[in-house]
Amino acid sequence: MSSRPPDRARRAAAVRAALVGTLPVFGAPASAADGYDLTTFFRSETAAQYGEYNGLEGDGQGVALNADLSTALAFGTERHLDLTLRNVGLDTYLARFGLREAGRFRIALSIEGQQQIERLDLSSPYVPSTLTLPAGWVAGADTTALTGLTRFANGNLTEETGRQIVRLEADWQASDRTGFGLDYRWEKFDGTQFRGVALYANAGSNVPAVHLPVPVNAIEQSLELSSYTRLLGTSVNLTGGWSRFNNSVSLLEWQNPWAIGLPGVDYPDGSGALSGAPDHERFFGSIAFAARPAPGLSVTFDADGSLTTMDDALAPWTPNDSLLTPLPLPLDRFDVDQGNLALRGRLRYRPTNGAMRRAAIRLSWRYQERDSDLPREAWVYPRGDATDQPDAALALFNTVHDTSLEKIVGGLDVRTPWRGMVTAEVHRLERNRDNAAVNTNVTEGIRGSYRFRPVASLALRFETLIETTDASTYDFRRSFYLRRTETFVEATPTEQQYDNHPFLRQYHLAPHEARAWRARATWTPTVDGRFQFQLGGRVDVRERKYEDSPFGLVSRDAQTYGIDASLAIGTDLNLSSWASVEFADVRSVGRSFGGGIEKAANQVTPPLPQASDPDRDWTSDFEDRLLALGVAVDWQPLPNWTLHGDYTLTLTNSGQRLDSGAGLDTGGNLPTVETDLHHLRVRAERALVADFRVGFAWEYYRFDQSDWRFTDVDLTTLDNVLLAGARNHDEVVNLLALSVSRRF
Amino acid sequence: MTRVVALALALLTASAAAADGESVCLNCHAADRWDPGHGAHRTDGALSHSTCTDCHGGLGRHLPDPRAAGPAVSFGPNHPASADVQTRACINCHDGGALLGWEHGAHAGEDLTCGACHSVHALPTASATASADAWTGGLGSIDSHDATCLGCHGELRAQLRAPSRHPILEGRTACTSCHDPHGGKGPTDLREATLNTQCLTCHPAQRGPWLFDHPPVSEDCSLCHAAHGSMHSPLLIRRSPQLCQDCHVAAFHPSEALGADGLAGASPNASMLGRDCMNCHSRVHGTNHPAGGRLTR
Repeated sequence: MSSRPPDRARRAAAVRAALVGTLPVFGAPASAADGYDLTTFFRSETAAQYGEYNGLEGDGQGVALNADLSTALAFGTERHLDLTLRNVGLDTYLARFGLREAGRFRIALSIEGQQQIERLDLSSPYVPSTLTLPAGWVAGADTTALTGLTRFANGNLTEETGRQIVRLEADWQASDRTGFGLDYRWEKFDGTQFRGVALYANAGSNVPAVHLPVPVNAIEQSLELSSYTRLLGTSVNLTGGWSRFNNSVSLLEWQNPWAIGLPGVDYPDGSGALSGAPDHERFFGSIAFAARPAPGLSVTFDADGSLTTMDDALAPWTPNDSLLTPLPLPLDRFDVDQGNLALRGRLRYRPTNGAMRRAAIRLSWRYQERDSDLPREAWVYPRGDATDQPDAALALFNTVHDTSLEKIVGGLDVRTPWRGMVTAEVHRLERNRDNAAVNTNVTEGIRGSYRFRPVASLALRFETLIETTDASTYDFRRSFYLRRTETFVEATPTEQQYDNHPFLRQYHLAPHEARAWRARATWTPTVDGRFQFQLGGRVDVRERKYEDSPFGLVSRDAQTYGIDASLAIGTDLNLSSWASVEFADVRSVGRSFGGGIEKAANQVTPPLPQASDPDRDWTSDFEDRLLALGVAVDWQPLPNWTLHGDYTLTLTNSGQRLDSGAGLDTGGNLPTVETDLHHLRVRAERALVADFRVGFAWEYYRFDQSDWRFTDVDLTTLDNVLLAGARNHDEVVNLLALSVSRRF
Repeated sequence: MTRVVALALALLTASAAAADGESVCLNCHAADRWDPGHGAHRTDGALSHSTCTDCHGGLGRHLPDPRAAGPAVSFGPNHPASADVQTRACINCHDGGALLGWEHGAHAGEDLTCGACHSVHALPTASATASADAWTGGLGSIDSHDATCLGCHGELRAQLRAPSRHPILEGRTACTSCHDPHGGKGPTDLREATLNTQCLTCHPAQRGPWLFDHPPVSEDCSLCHAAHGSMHSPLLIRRSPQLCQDCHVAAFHPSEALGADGLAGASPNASMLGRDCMNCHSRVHGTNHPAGGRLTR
């Protein structure tokens, strides 16, 4: 692939119209000149999915303002004041004020609003503000007791999280060789999410859970200082910073809906508790160095590190005073430092003359690690906080483990005729872990590519990758038993460790092979001022085989095909279209162990008969399909008229076939889940007078989905999980907008 | 002899052109709609000291015979210089700082030049003002970044329109929010040194540190999430609960094949409906609750 011809920006503008999903009348003004636009709009229906990110949720009418203003401080100077406004009037606003002098400094203060909404029409008896049950609540051991409950006013579980960001950025170029930067960011997360959470019951019994609306209220501040220096052919970048995350909902408590001391329910009347994201403080820094010690030789090195500390008071075993918990917490506070380090060095040498000047060699090395100083023995998890807990026999150690990664890559690039290049690369990656099922994974592979232009208008590129991963020290029992005492692990005969089946492996830790190849072609047959055409196509195939790991994920194949075309006729008409298709096929295999009660951790248990019974194997095949296509047209039929239209279609299809083994009591295949999205946009603009335009836009948005997870779920559907209702959220939205804009 | 005289004249004229700024060049290269010859490097504004030859080098044979040869540094399409030469013309001024890693980045390895993404001569259709240009290096507003990237990385178009995705199409994030096209510190030119560090930049609530963590979380977010987009919310590489069963096939309830018997109207199964496994194991990234070893609280 080589640089695109200079007319690519024109094509990109046409393609952009089809790709970028912001409203044509919102977002950036479509002119390089200063100006502003004011838009009023109307949405026919509540737009949750459509308005998830763009600030157009809800229904009814609204107004939005965009503006770009820039002025020199004085005639003839290079200092400018800039003001940018985006979507003022919506929740997704941006206001930026800046002062700059080209080549010397720039300062900018920005205030931005973002939002994320996920509406699945779930509901809960709780509301975020109280998390208490409504009057007339019926108590019971599980949801079957709620059948007599009449419908109540549910707290809607729509997730809606807003972000407000205040950011101060400054750059100062002290000289041609030295510069400094400052970046301060204050970000607030505010809104509601929802999650399920277990109300712990005794081991062996069913675990009631409830979906809760969880208030979100957190602030993160960060400050980063940076500098760069160039001296004697070397460049050095330095950064250092600090951040702090404060979460006001670090512990969530709610009223136990089951309540209540009924037989079989070990959780007495009172509250439950859920841990939130912890407050933490982080210091980070980096150094990057680049030099050209000899002609054709380039060397870079960078190091990046951070230290995250937390000193948090923890919840008690249970906030419920009615429970008897004779074992005190090991510590009152969770005090831990967690460090991350990444090092990287790279070298590239390309002879500047002689026979080898068409070749270049590359070497790179990367090392990264994550260390936590939390001692493994410091925390013991008593499984359950019911009246017979904690029980030392059921204790587990915490599972935080350290990891490290080291990767070495060597490559050779050779330039070939037809503006081509052949690349060959070998790489080796080793990942190490402590206190985990797999201590070491080693991945070795080769990658090759060839690109060339047989004729000036045709660019071709091929690439292939083959790599194998070995789990050299796989030992499944570590995953389970390292959470207990090492003495016990060593004392237990292998054949008596009921879960030590040799085939039980976790896919990303298991030995596997990966193969991938991709091809890309771009054809630009005509390049002249009046007629331009470009056609591109891509194929991308990736296969992963986990055949050494019969259980869990055993294969994953993915294929992507794409084609796009753009046509520009004269200066008045642009047409573009594209299509992408993705196929993903995954196979998983498991063995049913027939359930049974959870075993006491420190109890020697004979192997379950199912552990070595292939007749109890099951296989599931998953097929994910994604099709997306778009067409767009930009047309200027008259000097004062511009028309734009685009349509995108996105279809997904996800199915599962299940092949049960003998004696398996599972049901059949799962229904296919489909989503359909149609999005049509039409815009017309007319320049009434010079620099003053009127625009009209219409958008049609339709989304349908058939996810069985949210179909016909009612108050009592889920037995022990209290979810008052759920259904798919489909929507059809029409949006009409009228805008006036001024450029000057 | 004629050639020698012509060459001498050309050299003299080239020197004059450099000395006189753009006057000689603009005799032929008049500003028009698509090639205005001004813009971000215009002579009437921010960089008044720049001339055409600052970037294009000496004119050489281009002046006496414009169609036969380009200037020393031509950006095409007729007489393009090599990618290294084109890029060097830009890096002569724009080196260090954010461009420190350019030579070792993926784009340099693909022989991409600065002009492949940047419009050195500002275009009237760029959706940016001069102020925005100053901030984005002439790329235009944040919206146009993605169209620029997708011109080559078209395989991501479908994912960016999947039902669960990062809000790139809505302009709330951009490709450059995570990737540094000039050569980033991390894999795939990520801005941060590791993938997880990159993700946690915007998702600090998942940073921990956790008392009980989920081991894949600490190693690689992409083991479960597809950053560009997925048909399975929230950005999951496949549907749960099957995603969970890729690893959790040991004893107890994960070992059961979760089939149609868990659907509403049949025998209810808390592992299938609603948030499936996360109905109970909601703290899937980790928890600091002292009784949260099963990631349930």
